[in-house]
Amino acid sequence: MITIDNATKVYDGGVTALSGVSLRIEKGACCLIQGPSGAGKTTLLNLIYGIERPSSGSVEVAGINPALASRATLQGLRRHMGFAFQDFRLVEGWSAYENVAVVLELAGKPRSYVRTRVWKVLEWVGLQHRMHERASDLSGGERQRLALARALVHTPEIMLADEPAASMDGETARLVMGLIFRMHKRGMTVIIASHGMDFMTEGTMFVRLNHGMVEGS
Amino acid sequence: MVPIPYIARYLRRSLIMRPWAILMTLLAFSLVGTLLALTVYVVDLARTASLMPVSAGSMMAYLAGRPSAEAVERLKKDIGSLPGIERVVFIPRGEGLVRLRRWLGDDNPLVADLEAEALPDAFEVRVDPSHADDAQALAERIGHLPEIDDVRYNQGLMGHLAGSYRGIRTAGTVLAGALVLCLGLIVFLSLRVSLQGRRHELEILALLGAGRLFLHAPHIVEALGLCCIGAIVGCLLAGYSVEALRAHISLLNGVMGAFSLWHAGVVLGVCVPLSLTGVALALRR
Repeated sequence: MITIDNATKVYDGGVTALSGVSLRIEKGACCLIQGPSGAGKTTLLNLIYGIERPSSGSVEVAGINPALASRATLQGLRRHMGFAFQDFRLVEGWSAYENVAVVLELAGKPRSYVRTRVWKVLEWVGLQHRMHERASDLSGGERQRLALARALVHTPEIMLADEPAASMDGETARLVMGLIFRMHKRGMTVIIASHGMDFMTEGTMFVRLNHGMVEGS
Repeated sequence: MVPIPYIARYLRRSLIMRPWAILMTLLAFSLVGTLLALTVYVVDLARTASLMPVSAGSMMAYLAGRPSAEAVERLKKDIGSLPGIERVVFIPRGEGLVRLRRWLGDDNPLVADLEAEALPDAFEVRVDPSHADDAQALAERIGHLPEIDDVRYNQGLMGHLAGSYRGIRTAGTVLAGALVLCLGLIVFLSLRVSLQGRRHELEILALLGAGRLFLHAPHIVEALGLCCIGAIVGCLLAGYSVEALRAHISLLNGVMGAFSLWHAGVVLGVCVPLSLTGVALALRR
């Protein structure tokens, strides 16, 4: 379960990204966060993942406050989460396979399992034929799918996706969103942030953010 | 858990992406390793020499001032009565000058205008061959006799090495310290460059939940590997140099021992902890 209690995030320049946001996302929920650009969607996901700290208020993920957690605890928490970043955050010089496999290697999975699992997940997102290509050689849509594969490969308990279909054509976006919803149906808690609601068909919880505040849920 | 596949991939990628940087680092390690190995060898050689008995067949005992004929006779008897002394011959300063001129040449400017009075009287002492190894002890005993100013004998290369052991040890320690510092600096700098090059990758891995061991193990393995290879190459080069000297200069053959595993062990024993210190410092910053 994820609890966000009156979280506010003000950046150094004085820009308020989030203002008094409170949310409670149950285990196994599929939360769709919608809002225009600059609404604070990415900041909210960053707070949940522990990349940023709230200026005030608190965030709790599975009973752990990422902002106060030790480095080791935060690392442990992140290994149970998957995050498909808006800017992908792929290691450009690595192959598609290596970018995905590293998550399983972090979890200490055996090599044979890693090989099979990575191939399977890359097949899900339609990248199995490009697994040996460098991430930098892939198109925007392919990179986005690769980022999604990396977020899914270890079957995390919580998955965060920031604009997961932004760089994809309609057909691919439908395919990828279908994959995320399929994972949700298997019990994964999914939080998707998007400015539009196209293909967001199966959420159990909708949150609308605007100017850093929850307008409706 | 040590991420072996990840480390292997990192090392393979490093070799492909920056072969020259790795080669240059390895070269630097090897050079420092060679110098360190030679330093260890020379200091050990001097130490061995200092423990070995000095062998000499004859020695010169120089007299202080101008002793009387009776005093010379008494001293001659005293020296001759020492165990291991075969023969004692008195060399007055005039004869000493003649010998010197014969040795250096009459026209040598060092002795051309030299007066016999400027030289000391001396005894030429012949040591019994069976007591040749006791030369050092005999020289000390003769040196303690009254009116004996100095005792000199041909100590050979080992004798000179033994006499210079303290100096060699001090110089060796200073040189080894400087080399060790160089080694630490090479590890530190090469690692900093490597970390800088991987900054983006490390940030992403940390975001994915990678711990310190996962992030830094490849660097530790790379630095340790290069350091060990450099030390081994250094030891091989030093060993080859020592063997070449022993083979080509027969005079040194009896003096110099081979470059042994013990020497290599000392070099590795210095290099490995030091490279780890360099790694720790680089990772800490």
